[in-house]
Amino acid sequence: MSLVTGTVGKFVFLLVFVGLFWYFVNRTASGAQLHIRRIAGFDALDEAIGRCTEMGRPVHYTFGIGELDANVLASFDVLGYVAGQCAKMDTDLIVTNALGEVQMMTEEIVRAAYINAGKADSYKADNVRFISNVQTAYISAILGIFQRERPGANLMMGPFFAESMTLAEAGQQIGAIQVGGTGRVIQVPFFIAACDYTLVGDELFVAGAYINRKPVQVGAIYAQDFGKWFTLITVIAGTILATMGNNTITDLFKK
Amino acid sequence: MKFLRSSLPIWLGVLGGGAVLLDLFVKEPAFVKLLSKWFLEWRVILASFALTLGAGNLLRVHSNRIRLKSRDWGYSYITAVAVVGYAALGIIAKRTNPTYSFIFDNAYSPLSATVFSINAFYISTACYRAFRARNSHAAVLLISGVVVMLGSVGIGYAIWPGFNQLTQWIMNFPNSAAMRGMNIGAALGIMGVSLRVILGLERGHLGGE
Repeated sequence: MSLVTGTVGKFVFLLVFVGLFWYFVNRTASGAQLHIRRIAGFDALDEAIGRCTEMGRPVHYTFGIGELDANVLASFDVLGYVAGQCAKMDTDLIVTNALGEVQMMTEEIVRAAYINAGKADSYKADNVRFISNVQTAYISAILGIFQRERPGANLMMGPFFAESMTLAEAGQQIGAIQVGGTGRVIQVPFFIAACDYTLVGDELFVAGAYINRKPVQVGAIYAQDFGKWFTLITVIAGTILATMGNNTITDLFKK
Repeated sequence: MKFLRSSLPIWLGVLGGGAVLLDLFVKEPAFVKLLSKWFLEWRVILASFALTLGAGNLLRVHSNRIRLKSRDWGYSYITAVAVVGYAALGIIAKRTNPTYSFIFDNAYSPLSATVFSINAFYISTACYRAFRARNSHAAVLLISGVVVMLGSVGIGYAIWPGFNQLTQWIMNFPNSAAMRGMNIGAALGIMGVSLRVILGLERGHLGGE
């Protein structure tokens, strides 16, 4: 087995990451208590749903127009929690989708959350809506929902493109409490400008660990953090060595 | 049933994710490349079928509204007629049909451009709110935002030529450093989620346990 040229460094990094991953997953599985710092965006979810319950308005949840990737998978954990809370509080939840494959999974997640909350009868299949995979159609349909159904909370988590600004600002104009989160870093400033709470960078990807506190997911978050340290040390060491004329680390990532 | 709903998707995730990941790194064995190619092709096929299911959901939601005469059901009527009519036209008369192109060019395109152009107004109102100097952080945002705006337009250069260089410095150093930091964090987060799927530990997409 030989490696593709230019991937040796990445492969080494992947192996280090997998090693850290296994170590921390096993540690948490054996009962070690690992701390996760507070993330305001997730803490605000209950506040947003509670506000909708008090106002008698629905919660709106959407994933953005991007493809089914890690952003969507992380967002599913948040959706499961939000759907469960909405079911418990008898608050309507409207979920809008741009992708067919996400639509199928979304229906299943929301239905399961209502069943788990003992509110299977309250599940409204028509509230989990496929809109369109065309960006402008997706935007205009959600703007229509905002105007007609006036959600009290607008939760946007997933792979967003230019629709992030339009949806967040439209949500702000109807007075909805808004939480935005995406791993697409270029869209984060738009959420920061228009949302009440924003999940920045990798915060969306800790959703499962933060909300459910499952050992496996908490362990994965620790591996990620150590991965960050490894990256930071590699960047600093690489910079210092390259400045001194030694390209060992730089060359490793070119092999 | 539990196997189909839970175990099979997990194993497909392990196999598909593992094959595609390994394909990025290894030249051989050849079956890894074949398996990876096979899974990627199936992804496209499944996504196409899922789109049909999505369209089915759209028609179901709107036909229920029309049937129950729910509030604003007229919009649902327009949506259903547009979806079914345009799809039928495309299938029967083909996409090269002049009527098909006429509707696309004279209805869809201008409507699409109109919706997208709303963004300009939303960016303006969001900037207005974001640029209020309520605290020291917002003040830094306001000052750097104004400098970058002035450095990007001709009038800024007319006021003070240094705006261009200052803008380039802000974009190349503080902005790039922050963006790269966030990108590294996000990339590691994506790796974490992907590894959980490949190792069969992620189950959020299966609708709870």
